[in-house]
Amino acid sequence: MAGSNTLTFSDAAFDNEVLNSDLPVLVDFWAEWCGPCRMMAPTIETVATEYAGRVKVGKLDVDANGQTAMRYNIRGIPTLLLFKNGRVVEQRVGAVGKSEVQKMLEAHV
Amino acid sequence: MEHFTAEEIIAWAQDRFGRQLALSTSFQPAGMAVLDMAARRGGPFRVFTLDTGRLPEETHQMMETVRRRYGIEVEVVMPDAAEVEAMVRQHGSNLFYRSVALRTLCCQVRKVRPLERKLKEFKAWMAGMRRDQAGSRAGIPKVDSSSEPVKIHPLADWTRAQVDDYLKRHSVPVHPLYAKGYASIGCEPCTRPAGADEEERAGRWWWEQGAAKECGIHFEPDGTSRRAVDVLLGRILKPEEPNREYA
Repeated sequence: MAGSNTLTFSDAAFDNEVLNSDLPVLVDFWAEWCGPCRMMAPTIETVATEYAGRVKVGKLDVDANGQTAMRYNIRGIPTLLLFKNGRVVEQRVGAVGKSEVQKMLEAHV
Repeated sequence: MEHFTAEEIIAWAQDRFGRQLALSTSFQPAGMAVLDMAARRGGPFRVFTLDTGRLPEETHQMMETVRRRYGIEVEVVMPDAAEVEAMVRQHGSNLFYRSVALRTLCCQVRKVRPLERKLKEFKAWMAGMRRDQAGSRAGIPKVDSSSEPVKIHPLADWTRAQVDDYLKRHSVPVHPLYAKGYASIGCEPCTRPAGADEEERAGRWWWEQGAAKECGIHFEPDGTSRRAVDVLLGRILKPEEPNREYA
């Protein structure tokens, strides 16, 4: 998306872009048909902008990228996973507000 | 057709669709106002209601009242017995309190699927939905021809006060639960009165309001995803298939 700070992750590039990243990476597991996921989208974009340069923020469409979703045992969406050095250090399941997402990130930046 | 009055819309619908027009109602004030207008106008139309199997007694009383007062044979639609039996056998009778997925499943089996089957009989259908009933209804049009059957909301721009005033002026029967503080009525276990400062529909599935909003999802070994509700429904429609566990 032009001007967007939210990255798009995929099964194929996940190891490269997320696990091997120098910066912490926030991954939003979502699907187009999921109302709560769509509710979270503006918050994700806001956070991506606020933390640009400190945290990589992106979305993973679980319908198209089931392998990664299964790898992390995703059972409910949206799920937010924060990766640092290839490991999950924070997670939230269900739509949450901006302050909650900021809380997740502040502990690790 | 936004500039048409409620009566004009109903008259248009009756002339245009005749017996292929239905009013779908749960006998609450707005639906009763539409029913009264349609009956007084005198054109043909059919009336159906969804008897989910868990309705409050007062809703059954309204079915009787309408029969007696208007001489209308209300078509009472019921869910598929085999689907309900399978659902209750697999999940228990009051499954809806345990998770959003199970509550949605119950609504699907008891209400949504029977409604979809009934709607195949009509070219158009009316309901008493109003824009100020809930945020999710704020944009409903008076006539929606974008799908089949055509969906008609004659009272889309009416307020609760206008509906109450209509019922009073025309001595239309009122659902008994409204005198007990109910502002929206569905099935008995999933409905409670709404507070004076709450949205009309706040008393529906009230226990879900504080919960985190999420959608259950399952993955097949090959990575394809399925919504949790679809998985649950699949087990009801094909109960003889082995219960695969999704890790």
